[in-house]
Amino acid sequence: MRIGILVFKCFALLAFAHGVSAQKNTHTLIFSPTFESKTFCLEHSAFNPNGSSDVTIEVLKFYISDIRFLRDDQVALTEPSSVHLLDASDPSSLIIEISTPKTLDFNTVTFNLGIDSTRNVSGALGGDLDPTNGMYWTWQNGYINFKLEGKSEMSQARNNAYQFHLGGYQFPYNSLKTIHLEVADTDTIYVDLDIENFLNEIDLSRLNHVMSPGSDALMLSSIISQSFSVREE
Amino acid sequence: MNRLYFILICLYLALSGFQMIEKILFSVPEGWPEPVYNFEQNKLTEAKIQLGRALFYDPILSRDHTISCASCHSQYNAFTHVDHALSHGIEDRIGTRNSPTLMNLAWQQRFMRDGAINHLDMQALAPISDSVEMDETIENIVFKLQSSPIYPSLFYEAFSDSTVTGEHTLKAISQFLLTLVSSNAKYDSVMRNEAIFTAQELNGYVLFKDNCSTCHKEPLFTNDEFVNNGLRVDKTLNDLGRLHVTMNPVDSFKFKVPSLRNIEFSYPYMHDGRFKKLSEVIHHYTKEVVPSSTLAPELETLIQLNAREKVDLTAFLLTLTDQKFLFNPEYSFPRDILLK
Repeated sequence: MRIGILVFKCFALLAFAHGVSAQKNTHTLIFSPTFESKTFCLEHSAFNPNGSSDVTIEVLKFYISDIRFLRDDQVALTEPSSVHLLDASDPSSLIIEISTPKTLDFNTVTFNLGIDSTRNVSGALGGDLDPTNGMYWTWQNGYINFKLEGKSEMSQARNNAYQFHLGGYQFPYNSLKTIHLEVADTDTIYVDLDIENFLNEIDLSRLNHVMSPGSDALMLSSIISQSFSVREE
Repeated sequence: MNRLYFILICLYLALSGFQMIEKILFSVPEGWPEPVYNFEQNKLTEAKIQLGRALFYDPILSRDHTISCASCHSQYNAFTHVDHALSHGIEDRIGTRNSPTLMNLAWQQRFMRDGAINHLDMQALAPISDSVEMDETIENIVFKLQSSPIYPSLFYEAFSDSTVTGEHTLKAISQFLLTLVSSNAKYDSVMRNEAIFTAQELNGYVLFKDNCSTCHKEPLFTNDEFVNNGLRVDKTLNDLGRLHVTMNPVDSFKFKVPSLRNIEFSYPYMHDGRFKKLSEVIHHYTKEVVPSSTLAPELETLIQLNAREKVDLTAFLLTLTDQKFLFNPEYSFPRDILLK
């Protein structure tokens, strides 16, 4: 009798697993940094949009976390353990594949730009959150949510450099931003991040580096969070 | 004869029983609060503790392999830097603060004199990266450990993975630090009714409870908070303390309340190590407290103690010395690993 139940359970499990796999699908978010409406990557070298020395982009890294799919403000799916470190010098890191149920129905995607306060106080974490990724402040703990470095003629700093390391998880300087994007219900979603817009919004002659939590980091985090948009393919 | 068999069987069971009992790696002393550290996220094992102990004593963590954690945290001084007001690190560069003691860390929420560090696991990153301490990066440490002849196998034993990661390195260091529990001072024996205070110590204990125990709360002898204890500002350092972290003026000149356990051996005292002797500390609280808007309310009136009471209070403070802790061989340099 017991064996009979066990066999039945195994079959049920197999059937269930089969059913799940048959109903699985994949949705892909592809992030593209852009400048003057053109996408760029930093895989081989710094990016110099005009081939001139006006502005260059050398480092662009940021965290995307807690990705959600929504239909009319109702959450349809939350990606489990959702943390991704995106690095413009590693194109594969800009593609996020999420396994989804076939029935997923959505018209909005939301995600956080950065790492939430819970993960910030959870001690040593691994994978994309490992502190060896260069996205963690050691002198005063916390993740760097967004990192952009390069050169601009506007910057008065040494070598015309600019460096923006944006983060901070504690009140009143919590710089985590949630981004809401209205999307078509397609398997692949293209998200552009307009770096030109970000740099244009900053007076680089006045502000060329932010390296700690505070009001500047808060202001710049707002600007960068408004620089995401969905591209229609 | 039957009796002999019975005894032999009992002996066998007792001995095999001992083998089966796992070594207790951490326990909460009787009457102590629950620890703050979440052991579920970093379960203690002997292999991880030993790896952490090796990392603690190994100067490989510094840029030029000269400074280990133990350089500024020596066991015989309750894991602080003896005899240096301001701790020195790589190439004899001098920092701006006195290194704190390391004990009973599982009960602490925030680390550093100003609480800049939010979790024990992340604590080691600060001295590792500081240019006057170890002047190294965790990225390069992972690379050095991976290339070392001893560490890949120690990581394998500890984490079933010989690939060194930042997460595993930091968690192993935490494991060793968590085992540094000091709970066997004379004070503890008295609390457990295994010993009694002398009349002098007892009087000191009464004075302590009346004057000091709000901040230096038993049984940890700290309330783990940040206060301004009225030290005159050292103009050569202008250390604003917790304000650097919160950027809130109400936190000016506030520093973490240190535990008084093992105070006999953890001199010099205060965040900048300005006092060499306990008598200077007591003199400060009875004569020298500087009023300011952020001064701890408890210190607004000076503590009143006569000469004899000062001696009695000191006698009590010496009952917080824990010889078992200071000389515990399990906390010492791991000769068998590092000198192999």
